[in-house]
Amino acid sequence: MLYLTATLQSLFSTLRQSLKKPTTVEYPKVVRPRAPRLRASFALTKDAAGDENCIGCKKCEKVCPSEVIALTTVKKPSPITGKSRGYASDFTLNLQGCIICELCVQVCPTDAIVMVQDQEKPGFSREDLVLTMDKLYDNGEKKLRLSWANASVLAEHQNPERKHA
Amino acid sequence: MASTAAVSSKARASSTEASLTPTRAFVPDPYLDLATYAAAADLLTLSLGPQHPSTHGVFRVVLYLDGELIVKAVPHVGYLHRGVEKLCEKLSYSNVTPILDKNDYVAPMCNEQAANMVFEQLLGVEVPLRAKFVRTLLAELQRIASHLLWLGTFAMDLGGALGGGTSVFMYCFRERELILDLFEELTGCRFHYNTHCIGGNRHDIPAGYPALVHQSLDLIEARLLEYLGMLEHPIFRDRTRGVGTVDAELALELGLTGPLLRASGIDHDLRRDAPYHVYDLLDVNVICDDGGDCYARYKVRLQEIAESIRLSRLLIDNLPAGPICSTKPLSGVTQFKITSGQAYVAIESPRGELGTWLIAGGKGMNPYRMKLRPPSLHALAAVPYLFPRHTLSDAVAILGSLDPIMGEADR
Amino acid sequence: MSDEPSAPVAADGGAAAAAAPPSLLQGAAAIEPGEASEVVLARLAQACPSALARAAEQTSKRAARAQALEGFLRERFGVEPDPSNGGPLVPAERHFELARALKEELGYKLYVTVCASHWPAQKTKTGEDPEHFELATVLRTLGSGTHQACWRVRIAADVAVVDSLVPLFAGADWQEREQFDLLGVRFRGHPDLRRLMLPDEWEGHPLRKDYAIDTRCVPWR
Repeated sequence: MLYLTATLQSLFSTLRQSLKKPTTVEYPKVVRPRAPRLRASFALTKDAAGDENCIGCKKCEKVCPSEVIALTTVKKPSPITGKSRGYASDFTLNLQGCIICELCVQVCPTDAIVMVQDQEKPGFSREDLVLTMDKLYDNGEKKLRLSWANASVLAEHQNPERKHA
Repeated sequence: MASTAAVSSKARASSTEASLTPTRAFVPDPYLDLATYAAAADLLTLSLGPQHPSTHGVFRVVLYLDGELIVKAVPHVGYLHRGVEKLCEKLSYSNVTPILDKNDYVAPMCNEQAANMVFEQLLGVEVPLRAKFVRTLLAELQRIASHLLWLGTFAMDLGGALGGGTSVFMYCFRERELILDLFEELTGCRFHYNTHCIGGNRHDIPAGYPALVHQSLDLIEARLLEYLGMLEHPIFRDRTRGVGTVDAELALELGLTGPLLRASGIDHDLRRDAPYHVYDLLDVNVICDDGGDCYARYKVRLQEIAESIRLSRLLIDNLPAGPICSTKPLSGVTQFKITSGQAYVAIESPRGELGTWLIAGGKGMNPYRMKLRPPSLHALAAVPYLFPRHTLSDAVAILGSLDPIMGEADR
Repeated sequence: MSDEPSAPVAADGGAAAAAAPPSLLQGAAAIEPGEASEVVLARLAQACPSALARAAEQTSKRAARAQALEGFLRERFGVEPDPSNGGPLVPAERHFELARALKEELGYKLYVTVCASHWPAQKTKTGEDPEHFELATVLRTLGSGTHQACWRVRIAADVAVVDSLVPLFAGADWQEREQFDLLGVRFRGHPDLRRLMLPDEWEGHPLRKDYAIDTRCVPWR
């Protein structure tokens, strides 16, 4: 069998498809809209008074399945209120090992760490992909509007007592 | 392509055995000692894999070929063995979910559900009704996405990566993108969502979601008919009809489940027969086919996509109000402790029966032993039974139709 | 995606951000309200009329099978059911006999899985529990009202051999090979017992409790 009709059938269907509007878009001229809940990178937040939210409780470090968070807790007086409280120093998040599971956001008791929608730009060295504390607070200043949830919002979603219309 | 078909049909005609379609009277001996084979000296040993565009994942089959005919096939798995079961023994129960996502990486919702269901059973936690609906919806959407991926890769296997094969692949992935966009709207991740937790789900359906779901499903349904049109093709039919026939008895013996079993004529589907989530409220039409060959498996999966679309519509239109998680939001690794008990829970994943056997012990912070029952492992174990008496091009078609995912087969 | 003009860091940053809490995207956190569950269930019952009746029928079928299985185990094997521990503990010598009886007499035709686990020696309230393996097997019936039969077998660690189910179920082949590979439990009568996941020349059985998770493995060359 020469499969002549079969070949013509395939060619015809290809022709039909080629005359349709293409599905591909010219990225980066056209950027695909991202879902509001997209989670890509991280930010550490400060509260309304400007004090760091992170108290260095290490819950995120313990819960991370890939063990990419490392931080040390220090106790020092707050620059805003003057009272001594816990802070994190040397907070590093290794984005290379992160599996974007959002568990660190879930367990944070002070809503300090959130996930933002904007992805980190690729870098030339491994150090570029390790988020240091400065970078994280920087993300918090600049990209916080790109995050949709912190621990409180997630807890509200998952509240077993939640009642809504 | 036409010449390959000609060669394979010639090879079939020149076979000295009674028929090339394996019947129950003839079951290729997977442990065949090649020394007893007549033309042993002329056998060509060919290693198909582990990297090969047509093997799904890293899977190696050593083929012993007599001309173009396969005499014996010896599969080697384990190239993607990551020691997930050992890793689970050191993770806490809340941490296991994002790691198990990566098992069956094509249908991560199913892995998450299977694991969390066994935790909930041992903890005695009851999942709220809304969470059950959401889980069922996610499972059905995931089934559509998984079968679309299968269809794309199967057609690509038959067509080749360079030529006509990639067309269907791209079309299927275009549809799959719609489903992944739906998951992104809901959970924030297109893949590896970590949206299930012990007691329910972590993310709730956002406002305006049903309209989005209906829109995407309308598009997929319309295009499904296009695929049928494209693939109802003489070359496709000749390459898949009568190829890799698994009769019912062999399927049962091998422990095949899912579309593989249903394509061999056995009416068995865990969604209907052992309902979990809200499947007991839904009339799940179980699609069966008597053929047992690649074509039957293709038909079963295609119709399953249509069935899943119908179920998804039903679910998203009927969403109950209420909480989506019955346990308190996660506050740390020590939240869930299971000190004793063993249980096995299975769900119907797109590939078959995906189950988790959990042994809890010790201090209760980590699973003592977590065994995952992958449907793909049994599908791959069928390879030594299916490959012999077929040619190399048929072997590729059979492997594609078995739909193995090495991530879950190897863990 | 352009960044908004960044507020000056540190000093003034607090003031600019003080106006609103961490801003959340519109609509992302809003949840789709559902309807009352009675309404939903009634509507589903109308859309899928035979679902509930079939589910009830299957539940009763499954319960009947479970009872039949319990009775069978009690009479023929003298073991009591132990559902919270996954299944009754059956003597290792009768493992094959039980599997054959389940397959041929009671219709548990689908081989599901086998799971071996390693229990190192430990002190319990009643004394010293020697090191042993526990092998759990699951079989399933087909079709409507499918029921899974699970049972466990205890194997002494020094012997670590149990009958293979391959003569009954060809699907047991690879599952048993995997348990041999990862735990070192041997299966008597298995036609081809060798490693499945790990390379053939690997030493040790990783899923045993005395095998450290960070054991160094020599890269393959």
